[in-house]
Amino acid sequence: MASTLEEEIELLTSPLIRSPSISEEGMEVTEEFNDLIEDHFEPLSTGWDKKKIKLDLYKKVYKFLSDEDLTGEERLQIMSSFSNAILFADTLPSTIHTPEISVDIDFGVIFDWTLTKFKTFSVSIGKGNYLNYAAIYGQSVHHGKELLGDKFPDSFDLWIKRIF
Amino acid sequence: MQNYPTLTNAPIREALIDFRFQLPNDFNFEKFDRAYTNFKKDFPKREALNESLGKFEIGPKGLVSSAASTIKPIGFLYKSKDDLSVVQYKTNGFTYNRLKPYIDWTHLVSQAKLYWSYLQTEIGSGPISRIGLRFINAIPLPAEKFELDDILTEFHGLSDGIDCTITGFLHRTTIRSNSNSNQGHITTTVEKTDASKDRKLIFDIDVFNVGAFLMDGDEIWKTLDSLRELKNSIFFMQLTSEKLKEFA
Repeated sequence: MASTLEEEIELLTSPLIRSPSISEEGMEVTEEFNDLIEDHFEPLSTGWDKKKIKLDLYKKVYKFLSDEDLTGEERLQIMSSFSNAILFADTLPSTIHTPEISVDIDFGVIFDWTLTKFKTFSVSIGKGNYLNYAAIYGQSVHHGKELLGDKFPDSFDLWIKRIF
Repeated sequence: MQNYPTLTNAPIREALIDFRFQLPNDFNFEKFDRAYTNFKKDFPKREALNESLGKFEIGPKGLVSSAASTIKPIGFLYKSKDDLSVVQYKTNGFTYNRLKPYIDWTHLVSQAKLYWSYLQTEIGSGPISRIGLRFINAIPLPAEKFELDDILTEFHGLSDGIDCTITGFLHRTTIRSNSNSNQGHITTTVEKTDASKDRKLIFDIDVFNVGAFLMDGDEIWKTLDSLRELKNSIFFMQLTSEKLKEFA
């Protein structure tokens, strides 16, 4: 029980617990700290691990689900995409660049590798067992589907290596 | 107790008093409504306060079982007719917020006491685990080039010899009193704005005491007085005497 009390005290004295402000200035301070915390957890460009990717994924999905306007069905849809995105994240080889992750109600969870506007590769993951991908390389645009499995598709690996 | 001058033009944007506690899961929200009837006439605007909850479980082999995110009601926020005062009744706490113009300490505490008394009558006499006092100041910055040393007595800026201009900062100092169990977070930052003029230094003093205080006891008000003493010492000692003169 002592540890529970200690944990509670630690929580209550944490800088993350603030007396709740309603003024613009107070909210700005809170927002700046939230940004700082998010930056702290941002995956590194090299030497990343899957835990960081999953944490990033979790944070993005959680933030998305905080939108009170989402319907129950939309929430379930995002949660299904999230489950598949976790499976996909597990297959990411450590030899490739860290993807940018975003969440979109229409396309589910998106893993994005972009070097420039004309050198980009993205994978969108919905509730189905397919990985929809799109690649822009110079003037050519490619898109297609791969099955979600326990191995990172070779074609994705080639595209990402080609871009970077 | 140290005497500090009363400032006629204090740069306070918001002052608030905050109590943290936990009401039972089966708490009846009608009790909030009953407390609210005492001041509904002066605080006609009522907004529901919700907490967003999401549950994610990562199991073996990366499989995820999950429950959809839910919105949990935690209480209400009541706004005065002029929007300058706000009372928050929540299952995890009570807050009284006062926006500028700040009147004085007596007014702040008397108002908090009044709205707290209505709630306390309804919820009984359990323990409060955290008492907070927060003052958010916005100090106008000169439009021309200036030194932060002219405003703050202590500031960790750039060392001499670095040929640069500071364009932004976010500084937080966490403190614990050497004479009692009061603690605090002092945050200084520059207000984000596109215009170079009318910029302000946000000087946020958030002091608190974590313990077990009876909801119907005098200890909470004595603790608030000592938190005010700490808050004042920070404000009057961290700002330069020249800057303080502008608020006299």
